[in-house]
Amino acid sequence: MAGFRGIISVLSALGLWHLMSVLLGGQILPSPLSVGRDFILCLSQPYFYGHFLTSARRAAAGVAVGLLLATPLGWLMGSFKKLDLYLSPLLFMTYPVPKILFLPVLLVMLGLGEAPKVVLVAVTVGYQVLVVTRDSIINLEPGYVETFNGLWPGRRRKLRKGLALVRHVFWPASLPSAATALRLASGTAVSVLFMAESFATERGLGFFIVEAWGNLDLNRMFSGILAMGLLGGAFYVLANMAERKLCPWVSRKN
Amino acid sequence: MIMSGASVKVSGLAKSFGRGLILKDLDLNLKPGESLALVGASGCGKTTILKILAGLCPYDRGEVKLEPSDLVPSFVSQDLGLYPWKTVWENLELPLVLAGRDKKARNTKVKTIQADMGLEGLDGRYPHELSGGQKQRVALGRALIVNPSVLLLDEPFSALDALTRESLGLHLASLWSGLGLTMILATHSIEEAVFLGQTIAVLGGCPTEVTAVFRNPGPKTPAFLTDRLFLDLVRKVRLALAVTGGQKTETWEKSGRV
Repeated sequence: MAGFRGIISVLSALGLWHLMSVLLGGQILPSPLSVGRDFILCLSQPYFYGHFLTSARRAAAGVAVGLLLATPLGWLMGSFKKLDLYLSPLLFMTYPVPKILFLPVLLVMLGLGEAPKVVLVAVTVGYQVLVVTRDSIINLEPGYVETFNGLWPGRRRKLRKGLALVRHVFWPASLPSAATALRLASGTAVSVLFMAESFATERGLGFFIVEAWGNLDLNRMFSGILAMGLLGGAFYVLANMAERKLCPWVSRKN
Repeated sequence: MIMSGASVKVSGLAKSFGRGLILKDLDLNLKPGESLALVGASGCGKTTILKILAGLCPYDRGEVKLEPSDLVPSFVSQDLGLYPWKTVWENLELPLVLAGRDKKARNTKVKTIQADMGLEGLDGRYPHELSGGQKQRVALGRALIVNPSVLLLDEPFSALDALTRESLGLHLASLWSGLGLTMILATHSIEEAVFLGQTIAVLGGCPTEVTAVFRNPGPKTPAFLTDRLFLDLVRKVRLALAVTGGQKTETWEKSGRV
């Protein structure tokens, strides 16, 4: 039943697209059929694959770096009030700033290579994961830590206790929120990647789209947009799969 | 499962939160293997007493002594403290993991405690997939798995229906008498206090102190629940709570000392 509803939903969107294409004229908005034909044609070209893989690699690297840095920092900020007092004003002052504004700064600092694009995606994903992870620790039921203190044998070995607390309480407690943040961030990451790839580079789907736009090749432009959407969708699905694998108690509840 | 209880001695215990004095000059004295039920109104400090005994809450004045001192108390909180991300097996196993016990020893111990608590076949279930009684058994099992010297229970069966309460109360009583561990429980339920406590301490007043003490020599068997002695004690404890409104009185059969 869910699959049937999904098909209905996709077919409705395609129908609406087709209707708009007819109303606006194929020169402004190509029909889904012509874009589909061109997309299949693109899929057979190594040139297109190259752009797709470059974007996928940049997005994956950015998401991984953002996740690996932001998650432990979120635990630390959530766990240590003094550290949070110093870092949270900085976090919340910079959080509303659109991360794309960092692109010129990153280009000046890191050059025109891969680094600024990866860092931009990492910063975008990292901010969202950081805020959510920090909040999930701060809002953790106090009973969980108290129970842990009751179960911990003896009063010594503070470092081992801290590491065990992260492993058995903080890490699993923050996972569902981090997975949600990752799902949300996957869309944003692809958006900023498009911006980062739209200039000062000749590789990636962002460049592919802008190049096709410049050549007024709307079918190719839409093929690029479709590929970028699929990239974002793939990250969304991967985040979902990771959540199901890492948080089985959540998926079984739902 | 062989355990042995510790003696518990609390003298002159005082605790305040902010400017408000919650506990004042509280004395408790339990021999190894004894059980004590603390009964009193909400907010009178029952949980605070248990947390202090468990080493989870600092106190202002007085002395808390467990003998032998190397034995550990196990505390089961009112919300049970089961981790929703851990299965029944993982929740039971956690104290042993934290104590650094090897996998083989952990497996043996968890299987034994599962059998004792009637938790077989629930290994892979998460807490949200359990009934209230099953959750309670897991929490009790997790507390008992480390062979504690003192078992501290905060409102152990408060969230359960009457039948499950009674059946778990009987189970706990048989575990307690079989294991010989010292047990202190805080409860609102007068029947539960009278059934499980060899000593029942009524808490009241502001700051809280022991206002009346009753001894219960009866056996912890199902038949005792309908015994005249049990019903008489329930009536007396109820009266002690209701008439004084928690205020200390000189008319009770024992002084305010446990």
